[in-house]
Amino acid sequence: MSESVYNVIELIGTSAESWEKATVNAVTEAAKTLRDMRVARVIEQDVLVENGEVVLFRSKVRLSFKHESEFE
Amino acid sequence: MLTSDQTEGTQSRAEHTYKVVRLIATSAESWEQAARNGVAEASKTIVKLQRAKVIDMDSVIREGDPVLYRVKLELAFQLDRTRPNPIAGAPDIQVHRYLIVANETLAGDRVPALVAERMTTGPAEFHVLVPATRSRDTRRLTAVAGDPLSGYAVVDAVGLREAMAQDRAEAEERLSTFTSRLSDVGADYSSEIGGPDPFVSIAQVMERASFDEIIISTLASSISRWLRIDLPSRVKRAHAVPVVTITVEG
Repeated sequence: MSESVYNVIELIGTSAESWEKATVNAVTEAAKTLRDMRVARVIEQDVLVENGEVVLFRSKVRLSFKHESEFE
Repeated sequence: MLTSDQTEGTQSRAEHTYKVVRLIATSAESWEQAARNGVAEASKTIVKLQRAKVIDMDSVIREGDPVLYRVKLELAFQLDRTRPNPIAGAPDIQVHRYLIVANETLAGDRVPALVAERMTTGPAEFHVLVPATRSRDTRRLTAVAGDPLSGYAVVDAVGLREAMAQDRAEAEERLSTFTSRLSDVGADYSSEIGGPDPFVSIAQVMERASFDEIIISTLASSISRWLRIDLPSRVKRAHAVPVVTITVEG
């Protein structure tokens, strides 16, 4: 197995509907600029509240992708 | 911690203390709905709730299918009594917080008079809890349902549900009349309808709020069911907060 290095980033996705949507939003946004994403792990979830009602579901997602050296 | 902070730095620069509470909310539908339910419950007393963090999620499985979605939430309410001064630029103020527990006696003048008195001693915040106490009808129906000696008594489930809805409607009506009087005198208040058991309702409120005094208003001692169950002393023992009892002639 070849040795490799991965970058790890964290993103927060939001949705007024669900945590699933919030997670998908974070991942699709990341996919626009990242290649070779393997795993997105939800590490934290919360809700934002206004006047006693849930207005936003938020998912914090940890993504890893293969590190690409500029000199390769 | 996510980016948005629990504290609200825009209005007041004072240092605050928050109490963190955890609650488990459920829904047969989804975790999202469970979170909405939990936030709705907590918001009855936590007026400026801004964020609830998910600590845990699980579901209850029956015969291979999820029947209940549960979410454990962590949220915080302000414990200290420092509030921004309504007059811009003036120093922060300290408020006193009062929990008013009453149902039938809300209609009289005694409770409003006490509110007015408390307001003269300084800035005050009131939370009005109206336990939806059982009417005679409801008690009769529950007694039948719960009495083993009645054997196979026909439980009037529909009648019981209607009677309980009626109790709640009456509690709501008394509450709205009372809160409009509070608005008239410019009192700062929040309110909610509780369950039939006043002791349990108070305990639930005390889980998500803090008060300097609990005011229990009830009927005269000869007919008050709250006094018969020794509500004031029990509340005092359970919560270590001064309890003031006012009795009103029915």
